[in-house]
Amino acid sequence: MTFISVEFLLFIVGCLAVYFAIPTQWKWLWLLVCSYIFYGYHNLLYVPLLLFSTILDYQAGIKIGNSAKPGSRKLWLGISIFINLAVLVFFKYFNFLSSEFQSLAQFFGAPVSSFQHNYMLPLGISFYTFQTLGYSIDVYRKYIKPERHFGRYALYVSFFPQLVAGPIERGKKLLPQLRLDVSFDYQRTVEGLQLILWGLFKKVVIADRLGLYVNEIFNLSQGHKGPAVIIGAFLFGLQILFDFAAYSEMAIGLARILGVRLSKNFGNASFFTSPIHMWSQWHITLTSWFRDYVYFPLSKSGKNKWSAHLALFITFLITGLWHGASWGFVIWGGLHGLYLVFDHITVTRRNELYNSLGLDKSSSTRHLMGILAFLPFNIISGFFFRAGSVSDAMTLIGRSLDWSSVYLGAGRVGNNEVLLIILLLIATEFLNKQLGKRQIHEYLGQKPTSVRWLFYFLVTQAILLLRLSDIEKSPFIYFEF
Amino acid sequence: MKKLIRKGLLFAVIIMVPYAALQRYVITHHDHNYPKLTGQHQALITGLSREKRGISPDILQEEFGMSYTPQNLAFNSATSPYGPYYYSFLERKYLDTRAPDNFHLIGVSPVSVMNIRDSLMDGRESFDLIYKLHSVTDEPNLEYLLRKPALKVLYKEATDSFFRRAKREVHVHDNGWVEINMAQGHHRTQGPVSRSYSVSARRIRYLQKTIDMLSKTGRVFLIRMPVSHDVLQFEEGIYPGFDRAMHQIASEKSTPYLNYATRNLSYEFSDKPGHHLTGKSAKEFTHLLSKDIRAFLSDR
Repeated sequence: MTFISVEFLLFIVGCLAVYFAIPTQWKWLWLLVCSYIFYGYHNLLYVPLLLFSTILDYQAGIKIGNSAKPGSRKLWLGISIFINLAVLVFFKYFNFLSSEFQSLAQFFGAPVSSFQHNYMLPLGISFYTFQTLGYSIDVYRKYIKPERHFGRYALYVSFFPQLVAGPIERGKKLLPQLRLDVSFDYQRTVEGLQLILWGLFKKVVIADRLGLYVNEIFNLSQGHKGPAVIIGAFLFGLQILFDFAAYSEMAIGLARILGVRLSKNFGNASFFTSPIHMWSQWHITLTSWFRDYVYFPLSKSGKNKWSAHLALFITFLITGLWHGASWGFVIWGGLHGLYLVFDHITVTRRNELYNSLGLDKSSSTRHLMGILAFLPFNIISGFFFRAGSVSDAMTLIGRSLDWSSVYLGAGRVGNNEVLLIILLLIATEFLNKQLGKRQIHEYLGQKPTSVRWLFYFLVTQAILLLRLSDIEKSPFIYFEF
Repeated sequence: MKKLIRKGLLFAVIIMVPYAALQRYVITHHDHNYPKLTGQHQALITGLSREKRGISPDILQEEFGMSYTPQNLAFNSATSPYGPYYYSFLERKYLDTRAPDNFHLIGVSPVSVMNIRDSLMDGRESFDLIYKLHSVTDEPNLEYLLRKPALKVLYKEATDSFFRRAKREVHVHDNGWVEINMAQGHHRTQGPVSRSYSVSARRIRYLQKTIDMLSKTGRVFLIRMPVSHDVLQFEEGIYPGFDRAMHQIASEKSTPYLNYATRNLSYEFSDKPGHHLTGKSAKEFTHLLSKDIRAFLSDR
């Protein structure tokens, strides 16, 4: 069940009612039960897999923590990493690797059949696997002590607000909170509801509507070209940002009601002035995971700054692959790796250039110039992320250069729909500017009651009146990873 | 907790009252579908958007001196091609009173019995809100009033004029007829859409079932609406044997087939290339249709 469903509403009301009624020592058990019900609702068959991953890393953590011998600690860490990644590779990458191996073998003249399995990708496996791996590594590095309470550890892995699409939490931050010594708090509940409302708005009003246009453009059979294709790729970047940020916001809001603070996963910016800026705002918990567990180990093994650049590039290739088993995702990751390397290499020179033009860091002109400079590169990478294949991406890039037709609508998505999208983006960007670095509940907390209620009224009416019709149902994009 | 519940209730009232009021106003005045989702009716007009805009039930009532108004239950090519969803909808809508001299008009066109594949229309019927409603006869239809996002209906009309530079007046009648009058010389042009079409044996079967169902309570006429020459050529391209198929069905079901598409009639269309009659032409056409139906009925 997704967060936007009647089933989930009934589920959460029931969950909360019992949660705040039972004594603290049983709250973890009740949340654990709820989390497994939530996960099992999607597909009961994969519940044992979640449990297996939980038991494996619980045990690995205990063994690593109990052992003084470096060899034994390393062995258990290795077991945890190997088995977790093996499971992830099997479900997510096996078919891709198998068909690529077959292509390669056939290229060299070897008649090899491709073996493909029919297992569905378990929901959230990319997220909870990384969360448990992070835990094992942190225990090994002695950043945290292993969690001895199995139930609490199991809840850390399966905590339903963030189970299927993050934020990816570190053990150091989440585990202590799962003692759940909380009672119902009005202010905390209001803040949680504010986050959920804002997330709902971003998803239902903005992301879904952007998806109408994007789906039309990326349907190659429609033959769209010229500016419509460029706009489509640009809007895709916004769609995935709003869609994923919405989910994260709702997850954080739900957790807040339960008395748990999850990590911020997205900044408020919709437009980025540079690759460094983008990756400091976008899927923050995933980026920091790759930084801490892939980039730093890789870069430390190198001897100079070029090794660090190479490590950065490789990290982003892997980041791309994390998103999906296709060359399109790898190319997307690789492009962003290159962008980041270029950004790091040139940042000093660019700052000097801006300063020589009298444009300091607070200058809006400098801000705009940064956005306009980075945008085309972001759009190009977006083609590879969204298109079904590398060849489809190249076809669309080619079509985007054909300006024989300057019709901006896309099929059934007419100019008036495009205008509505623009108006909504302007309104949202205006509010984002007001937010600055604050999250919505922090911003509203500083406003008078009248402003808060006006916000509630306008946002809820927008959700009710501007949501898509039943026909264009749209699941959260990141559920596909 | 009590404070939360109190404020929650206040929030619900503050949100729902204006929402419900706005929804009711917009949908009852501007939504093309709403009149078709209330009440049951003795005489039905079925089909796609051509029939929705092209046949005036008031004129039929006047021409035949009926004590009740036929109901135009045609929607569009996404919602009401013949099939299980539309059939089930019509089953719930017709009033089985077996009035003498009652008749039903079943609009037919190639698209009404074909499967269409494009990005938004593939399998679209299964998602349509109309087919998910618990009731399609309640008056008012509260479920529809609350569930259909209404603001977009208003927004679309307001911006259509601006973008297409086409002045048009839309009047949604209670009998389901959607009357659209364009300022002279203006047309509505749709953006490029690529689709593939295939004849559906299943949809043809449901067309036949619809004829059988409605034949129990009145005389059934198959009607092919007048369209422009360009549209006719296009339809002959996607389904060359359409007319032959309709003649065959008409013969099997002892149902008259009145084909106005291939006649050389001069009507005004509100769109380019010429699918939908303007309000003025719809009235003229309905008079002609009435004359032909009367001639047929008196022959019998």
